[in-house]
Amino acid sequence: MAEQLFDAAFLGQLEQLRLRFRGKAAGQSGGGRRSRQQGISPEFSDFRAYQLGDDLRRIDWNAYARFGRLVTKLFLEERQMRVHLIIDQSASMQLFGKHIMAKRLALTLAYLALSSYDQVSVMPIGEGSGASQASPPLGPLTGKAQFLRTAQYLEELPAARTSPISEEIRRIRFPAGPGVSYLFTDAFSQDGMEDALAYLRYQKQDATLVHILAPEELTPPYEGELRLLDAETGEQKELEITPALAARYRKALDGFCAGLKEACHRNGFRYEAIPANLDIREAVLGHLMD
Amino acid sequence: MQFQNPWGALAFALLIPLLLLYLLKQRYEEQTVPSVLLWDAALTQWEAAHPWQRWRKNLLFFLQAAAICLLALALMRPIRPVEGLGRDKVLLVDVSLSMQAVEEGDASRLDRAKAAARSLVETMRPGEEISLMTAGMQNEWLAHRSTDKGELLRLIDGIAPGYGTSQPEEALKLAEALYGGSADGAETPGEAGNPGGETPAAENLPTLHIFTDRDLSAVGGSAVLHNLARNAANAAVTRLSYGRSSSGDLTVLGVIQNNGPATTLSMELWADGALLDVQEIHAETDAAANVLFEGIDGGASQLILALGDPDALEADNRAHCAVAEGSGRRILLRTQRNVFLEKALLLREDVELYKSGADETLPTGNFQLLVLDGGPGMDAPPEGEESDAPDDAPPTEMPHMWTFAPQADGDWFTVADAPPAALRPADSPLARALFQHVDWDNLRLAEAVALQPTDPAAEILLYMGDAPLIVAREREGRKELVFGFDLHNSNLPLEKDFPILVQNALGWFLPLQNGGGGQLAVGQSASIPLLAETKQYDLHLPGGQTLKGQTQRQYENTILPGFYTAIQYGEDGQPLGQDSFAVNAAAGAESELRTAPAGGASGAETAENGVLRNQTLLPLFILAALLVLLVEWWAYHR
Repeated sequence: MAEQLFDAAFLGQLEQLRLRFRGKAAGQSGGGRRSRQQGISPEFSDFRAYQLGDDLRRIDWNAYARFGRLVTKLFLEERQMRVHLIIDQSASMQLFGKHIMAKRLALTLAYLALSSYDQVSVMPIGEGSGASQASPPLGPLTGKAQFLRTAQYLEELPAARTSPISEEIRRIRFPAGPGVSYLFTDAFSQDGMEDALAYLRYQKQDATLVHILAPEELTPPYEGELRLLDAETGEQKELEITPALAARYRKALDGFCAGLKEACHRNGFRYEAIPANLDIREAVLGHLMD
Repeated sequence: MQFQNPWGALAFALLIPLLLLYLLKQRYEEQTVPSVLLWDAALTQWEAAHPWQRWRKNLLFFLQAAAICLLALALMRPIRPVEGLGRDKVLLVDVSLSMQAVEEGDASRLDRAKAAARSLVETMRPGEEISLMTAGMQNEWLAHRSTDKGELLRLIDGIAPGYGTSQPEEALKLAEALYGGSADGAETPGEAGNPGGETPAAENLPTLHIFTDRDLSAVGGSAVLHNLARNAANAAVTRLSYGRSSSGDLTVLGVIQNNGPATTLSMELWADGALLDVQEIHAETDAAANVLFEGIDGGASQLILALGDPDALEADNRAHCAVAEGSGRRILLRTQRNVFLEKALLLREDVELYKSGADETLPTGNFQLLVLDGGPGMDAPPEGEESDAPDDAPPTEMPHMWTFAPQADGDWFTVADAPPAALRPADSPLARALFQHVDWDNLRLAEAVALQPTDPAAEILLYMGDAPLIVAREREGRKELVFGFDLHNSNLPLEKDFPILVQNALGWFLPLQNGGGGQLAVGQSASIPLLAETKQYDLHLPGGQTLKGQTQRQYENTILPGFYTAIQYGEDGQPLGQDSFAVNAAAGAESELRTAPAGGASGAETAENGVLRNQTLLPLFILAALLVLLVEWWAYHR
């Protein structure tokens, strides 16, 4: 199973992404990502050993004179971030490989965060997981050494039954203080995403809605008379899919995505729509990185 | 709406597989999708914009079913009776006797029919074709598909009344057959016919107008009926007959049919143009009455019985009767025994044959012909004939005489021996008439005598060598024929020519008369009793017209009631005699004038009985089916 999700090629891509990530981070005030608090006067927080790529202006020369070692000063804005990877494990995500894409993206971001000594938590949502204790969340984890553990966790994460996302989100116990959250979902929830996004904002999360859709959902290949079975609710819908109706569906989908995007923006979040069959590097670099 | 091909309804059975197709098609292919939310939203938007899409599936079924129904109806070839359309007309005018009726002081029915026909012709449109036909004893086309208004009006004005019956139904069938075509090719006047009989399109069939006084409502809606009857009362002389008493006087009997309420009728009897007697009779309602006239002069030759007072139909108010010489042809055959001659004489239906032997008492009564069949005592006229007639009774006429093998000289010939020799007929009109179809070459005679005429009026008809073998004479109306051989001593009775010879002789002695009592009905064929030596005859018709130079023995064109007189002429142009016969109008069914249909058509000039033409609705149904299929195609792709 690990080979399916995280093969050697994928791991190789991860390493390349990490280097690029570090290169980007070096050009900033510090830390692995741009903070919401960028622009506020930094306050000395801690020291750490100099790493290649650190800003030379941050080198504590007094410590070098005293100890003969290069040491980098850390400020508040560069302190360790809490990264929450929220993965929708509902039945709809299990179709067309969307859950694989979600896990890969989550693992990728976990690797990058762990490599930056950030705290990483993996929180699956869906009935029977997360707070339901069928699949308890993972973390918080720190350090690159936790990567394999994270990979194994994601590998073994089971599918969950369907429940409204807003209810599942509310079961997540976020640690006090701000954090960065990535919500990997297809957003096909009966109650919509408004409440879930509002809760994340309430929890002072810098959230990104990673909207994963399969090609079969973007451009349905169906035609004729079909009985559609809802994977989550079991609802059946008999209809005749004609070219005209398919066009109407695409229009509805565009509207759906636009609505999600607007909802994210209203809450100060990011919205990223990523096809489930997109290359992981392109997905991360093209959508999840600035 | 009617259907010409009911079997087309079998196409409705196609609805069954269509229904099964929709019922069996209710299998949806299942497909699991992450969510039906967006499909629901899409469908809701779609149905909101196109509300009929909700019923789209049912709509397609109904459209396809409708198309099948329309095609099935088209296969059934629907038609619809249409009045007054079409560019052609056929005018059928009844010219039977009853159409001469004049009711309520107005014009006759025929005149009113002609006026109505004229109005149709006068309003004919350019290019319209009108055919004109009369229905009488025979149906006659006067014009066929004519566009000449003037010619049609002239023909209408020239329609003459008839005195016989008519059968408009037969004329209607003829008109329908001619315009509808027939497999055996119906003939039209002046045309070769219509072989092949392609049935024209219904919309091209003409409108048939029937001008009649008959109730044709039972014919069945196929024409515009102009019923001209006004139900007037009418009386008619339906029969005139006579009998001759032993004194020779005539007793005349007439039968009058009263088609109306009880009334008193004045009956006039005319003889040879002179009014002899008038009687009043009482006729009950719708009943026949008789009138009898007695003691009429036996010499009268032409009798007329007429109603004294005019009524609605005058043409049936008189009957004619030609008086014959006798009621039957009495022939006396004096013979010992001659079965062949006896049978040959009885071939004539009007012959009353009496037989006697030489030593037998002759039967009483007048005979028109005496045949003496040779042998002793057979060659003289009968003597001492017993008669119960009173002494002062007028002498009876001498009968004609036909003698075989005279034993002694006669009044106008001598008898001598004659050696056997070849037979040779004389070249004279009488010889040719008497010996027509007789071959003398086969005659074998055991013995014969030569007959030498002593009267210049006598005529030799057959020679045996140079000797006269058969001679004839006619003097003062009495005819005599003498054969110089005995039939018993010849093979003549055994020959097939013998009965022909006997009939030829009877035709000379006693020419045939017409009808029973000398009267025929209009349209009946009349026999002209030509004499043997007649070359030709002139026939004087009731209307004053004379047909000269006639030779046929049958006259067919008895269309006018009255007396027909044939004056016969010999080869030298001298009149040989005359014979008359009477023709009467068809005063039977045609005299009943109360023929207007019940229920208000009485007095009406027209009564709509439907039209001949049916308009086909086939193109309409096919067009409708195509439109439905077009809508179905559009609905499916929407």
